[in-house]
Amino acid sequence: MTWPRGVFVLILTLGALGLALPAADAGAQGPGPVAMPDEWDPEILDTLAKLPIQDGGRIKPLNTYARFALLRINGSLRFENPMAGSPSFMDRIRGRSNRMEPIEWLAACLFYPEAARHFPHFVVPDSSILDAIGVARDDRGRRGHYSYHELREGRERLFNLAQQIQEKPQEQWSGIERQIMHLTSNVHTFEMITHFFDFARMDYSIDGSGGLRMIYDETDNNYADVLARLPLVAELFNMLEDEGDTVDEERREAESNAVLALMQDLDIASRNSAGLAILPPAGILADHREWLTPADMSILVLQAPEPVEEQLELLAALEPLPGLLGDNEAFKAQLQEFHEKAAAVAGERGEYEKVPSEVGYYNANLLGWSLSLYVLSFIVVAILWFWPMNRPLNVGAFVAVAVPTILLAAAITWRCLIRGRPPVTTLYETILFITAVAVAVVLVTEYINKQKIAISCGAFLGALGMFLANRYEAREGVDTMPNLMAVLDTNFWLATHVVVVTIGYAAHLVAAAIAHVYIFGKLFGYKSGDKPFYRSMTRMVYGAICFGLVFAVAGTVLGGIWANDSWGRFWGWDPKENGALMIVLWSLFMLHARMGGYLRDFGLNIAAIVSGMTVAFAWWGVNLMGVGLHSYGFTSGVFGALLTYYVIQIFVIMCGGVAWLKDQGFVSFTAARNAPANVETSANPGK
Amino acid sequence: MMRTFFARTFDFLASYGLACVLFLFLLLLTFLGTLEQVDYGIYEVQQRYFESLIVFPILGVIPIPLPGGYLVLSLLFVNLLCGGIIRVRKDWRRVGVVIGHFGILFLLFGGFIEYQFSTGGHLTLYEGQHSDEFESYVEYEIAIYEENDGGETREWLIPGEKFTHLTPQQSRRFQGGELPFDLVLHGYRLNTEPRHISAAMGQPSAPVVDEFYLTSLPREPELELNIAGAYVTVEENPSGETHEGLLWAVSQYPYAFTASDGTRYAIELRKKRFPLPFDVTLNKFTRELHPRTEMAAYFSSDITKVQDGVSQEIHIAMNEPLRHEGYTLYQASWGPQDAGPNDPLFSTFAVVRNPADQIPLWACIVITLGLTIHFSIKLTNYLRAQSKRAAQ
Repeated sequence: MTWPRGVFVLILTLGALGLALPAADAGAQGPGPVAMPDEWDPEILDTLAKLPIQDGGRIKPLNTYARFALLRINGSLRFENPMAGSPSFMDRIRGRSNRMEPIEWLAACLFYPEAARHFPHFVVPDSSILDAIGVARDDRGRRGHYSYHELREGRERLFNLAQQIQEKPQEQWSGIERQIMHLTSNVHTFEMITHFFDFARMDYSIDGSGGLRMIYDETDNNYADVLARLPLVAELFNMLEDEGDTVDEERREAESNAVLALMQDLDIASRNSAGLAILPPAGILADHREWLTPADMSILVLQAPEPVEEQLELLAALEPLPGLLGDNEAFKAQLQEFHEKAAAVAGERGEYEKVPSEVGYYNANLLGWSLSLYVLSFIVVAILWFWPMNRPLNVGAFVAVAVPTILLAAAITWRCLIRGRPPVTTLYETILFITAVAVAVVLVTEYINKQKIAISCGAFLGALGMFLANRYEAREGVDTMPNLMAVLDTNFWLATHVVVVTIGYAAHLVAAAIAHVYIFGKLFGYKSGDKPFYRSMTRMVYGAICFGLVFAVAGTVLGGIWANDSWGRFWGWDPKENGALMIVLWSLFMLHARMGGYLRDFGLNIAAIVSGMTVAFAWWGVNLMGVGLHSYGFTSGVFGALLTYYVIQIFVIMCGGVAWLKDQGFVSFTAARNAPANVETSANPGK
Repeated sequence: MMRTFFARTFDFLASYGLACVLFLFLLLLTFLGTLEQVDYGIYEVQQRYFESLIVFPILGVIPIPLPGGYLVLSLLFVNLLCGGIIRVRKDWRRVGVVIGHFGILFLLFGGFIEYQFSTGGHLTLYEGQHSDEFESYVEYEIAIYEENDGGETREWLIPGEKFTHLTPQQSRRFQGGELPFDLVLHGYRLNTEPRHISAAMGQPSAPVVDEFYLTSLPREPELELNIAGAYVTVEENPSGETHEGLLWAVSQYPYAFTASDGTRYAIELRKKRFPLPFDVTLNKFTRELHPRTEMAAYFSSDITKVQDGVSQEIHIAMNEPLRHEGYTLYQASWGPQDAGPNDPLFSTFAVVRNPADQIPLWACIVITLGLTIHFSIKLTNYLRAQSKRAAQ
């Protein structure tokens, strides 16, 4: 009994673990193709979106999985259905487009794989990759989108290349090698998705054998039924081996071949249907932490000490779906039945509660709204500068900046509730949090100061922060609410050290932003005679630095205390710790140099620009170094952005130098044409 | 005249100018030290930049000397004491500043105590194993002991600072004292691997002992990844008989020889060991991965601590260390990383003895309190002035 089961398990395990690329023609035996609908039934999409799955070590809605799979493969969430034809002008006016929501895209890939293979969704960032894998390039330029169908002829070479690259240490990969690995991973993900329902599309070979017919009825030709009695097939195999002498050789061979053909089918199902862990462990498996894929089930039924009826029931509810395509109502009812069952099992395990909330979070798109409203607020603030004394416009500008900040804060809170964690646990979340805090700081400053400088910086910082978050998410293409490494997974220290130190970052960025306004204002001679205007700006910069220093010091020391509790040392000169220390030291330098009279207004503002650069080094720069305990953020591609930022900041500092010379009367841009202005400028020396 | 000199010195030590220069130097050291970590690893950079009086940065073409972290922080302590505590104007508006400065002084003092008096290392145990000592991550020592069958042995130690500076070409003699032989240590290499003579192309340049010789490997930036090795020549007194041995820090068996008087001695190059005042037995190591991933979600160790015949069951986990008698044991790591489901695992505890362990926590509270008071006063004054301006 045990030996044949062992053989069964071995064959099936090899299939499931083979990192096995799906057998390409597996679906061919299934039902004939049904045309993909132009529009999906919203209820079907809603139900699909709420299906819980286990991915990346956590339970999440299928909607979240779809979102990040599309983002990773396509490089953007914006994907238009190529089958639907161009929408008419009137359709566009009515707001109708061919844009596919992520869950709609995933549904197409799962249920209409042949159509999805023609979707031009694979982003190829460099066309030289196409040359390397032998795919003809066309006029799509250096960066283009290709379909699986187009890439298929280069698939084998792509995977071979990836294998070669993988033999090198990851830090030695070139840019193009990283892109090849990324594309390979995307092709693999797509194959796992499109083949996922192969287990349900296949006809299982249980004909031509008397033995198998004794085990299975005429109607038992689906996966769940086959698995339900698979232990009996193992026994049949055992009997054929053990009692070989008493059975007619020809018959024995026929029976063995029939069993092997069935095993082969199960092997294909195991290979192909391992992409989504969509079955929560039920019944006797309830204490398992790992959710199951349909592929896992074929091994499980042989290994489990007792029949896994509840688990097979779940599988049986999932399996009919591909067969019901074309009958919308039946498909919907079946999907809802599976959802109810899966949600009930997951709910009993305490794993479903947050799933609808996460669907709601992404559907509400608070961050998208926040970005758009920040951009709008920027326009409102620009108008305000033309009519600075207009009171409704002043209130309007304040509200225009406050509303997206409230949305951003709501989004951060919602994320905390979903994951049950403090607001900052990943690099992505630092962007959201720092943006929110920075804008909140400028709103308070504006409320006190009412010079319109802070509010302008707020609109700019808000739009910039949300844009960065958006780009970072798209570039990484991974779940932004992931599980954490063991040592980081402590709510107390995440809530104290990380939150406090990032507030420090935010305040210093605000100081740097206001300092930009000061420098360019001086450079271009805006309100050149208005000393109080510039004084108040310097006061704002000074205030932000003081506020930032309190949090930077407290956050840095708290980080040390955490390190002392986790690793036994308060300070290890780790790059991230050093980054935080540099912010503290620079702030201390600025404040003491101001007290000592070494930095006047101009100096403080220029120093505040450097303070922003120090924050950028601590926040992003040290993560690029790849050493130390904190280099957990995957930051490929950030280097270019950081370098650009530094070049711009050095330019701003140089502008500051020129503005100072101008302020001192050493240079003048307007001397020849506008003598009185020059006289006025040089009459205010010594700032 | 003398008074003026002292007054001037005090003024200089208490000045904002000195404070600013020291902040900038420390900032520069931190920045350069961070960049150099990519090539030289944290341990070496920490020693060269932050625990030194003077440092020559490797970055750049001309090696410009800079004051080391130890010097800068010491001066900062003095500057803070003179300027931030003694000379600062004593009025209620500056109470926050004084409190904050006290906190920073306290923090620097804690750092000094830790630097001078703390020891650290690791204790690695498989389930069922026990130990009452831990070993350094990077420091070495040479142990010489009598080999006998399980009975009491005597042990003599040569501390690492007496030989780890040697180059492969240098040698150093250690007088035996009560031992009947002298040791000559030579061919010390920071990172090495013994190779069989058959692997050499021709005659190896290093000495060959029992068909093995030491080959130099490139230095790993992370110092703890280097494995040191050396040759040892034992010269017996007074017979002058010699024995040649090869030492390698991760060798399973020490180099052993029998002296003329029949005593068998073993010589071992190993990481420096420190005694613990209690014995630790690892009963069970637990690790949990996030489901369907290879990412560790949680790991912990159940140990038995035995001291003076009293045993106690203790659970150590990430962020939940054991603190006892000035020693702290942290759950640091585990291995082997490529272990299969049923393979035995080991648990590694970071062990630290740091008398200043809790000083940063108190300093943090004091600093935050001071800064909050100071900046709150400033903000209040600013708001008052603002409302006055608005009223005008």
